Amino acid sequence: MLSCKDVTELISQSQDRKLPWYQRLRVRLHVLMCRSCSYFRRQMLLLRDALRHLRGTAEDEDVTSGPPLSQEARERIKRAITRGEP
Amino acid sequence: MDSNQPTGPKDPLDPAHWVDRHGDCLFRYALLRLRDAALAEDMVQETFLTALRSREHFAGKSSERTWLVGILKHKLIDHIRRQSRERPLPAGDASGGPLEELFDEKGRWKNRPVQGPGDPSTALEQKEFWEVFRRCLSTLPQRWADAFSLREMEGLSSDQACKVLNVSATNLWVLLHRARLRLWRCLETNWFGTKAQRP
Repeated sequence: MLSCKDVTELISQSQDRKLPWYQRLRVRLHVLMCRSCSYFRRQMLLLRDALRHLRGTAEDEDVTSGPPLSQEARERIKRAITRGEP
Repeated sequence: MDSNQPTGPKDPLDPAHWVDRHGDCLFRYALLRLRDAALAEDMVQETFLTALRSREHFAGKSSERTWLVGILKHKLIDHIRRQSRERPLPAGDASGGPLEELFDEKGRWKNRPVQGPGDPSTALEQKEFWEVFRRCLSTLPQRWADAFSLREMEGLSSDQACKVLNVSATNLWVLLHRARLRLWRCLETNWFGTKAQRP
């Protein structure tokens, strides 16, 4: 019987490579019986989907929001660009 | 602060407006992956200067934004590569880590995961999710976060990520697993598991 620690390891591994069928089966059986690991698995899948979405939308600044460039940095970078222009 | 030199109609690039049009986007992109505002600002400036020097290579096949993000991406990966060469993997990063904080000696959860209805695929909740994500990622040890960022955010293959980080495949796996678990625990505490308690 796999421990919860083993199962989290396999779930994490499955994000890097396809697990052999017997490992997938063992994870599935454990998750069926263990609510904690089923939550863990579900949340890891949500995280994976969110990251997939992030990779597909690199040019869309509204995806992750986050702080804008500070006014000071904005001015500094503008000056650097003006100096760098031929 | 306008440039005295107007861009001709044949030149689709418009450096005078780069900062206003793309500055925030590039900054957020860099900040999410480097977790350091001053460094992210430097990367944005470097990106614009490189773009300026190589503007004749801009084919106009992609948008100005896509082209600039591509340059920034290369700069971020180069930065992580340089840092990984200068500072080899700390010995502590190959042992210990979040496993002990999560599981007892029999491999059972110390604190059982909880589930609320928090779901980052819901458009309305996205910004809030990434806000928490950004905070959580910045609590990770640098090399863990770098591994995670290259593999899961930049989408590098395992081989590519190993080369950039200057680590073996086994080391990469350990870094990634630790990063995922630590990040997950932080998200579970501050996002996935909390929504249920809200009115």
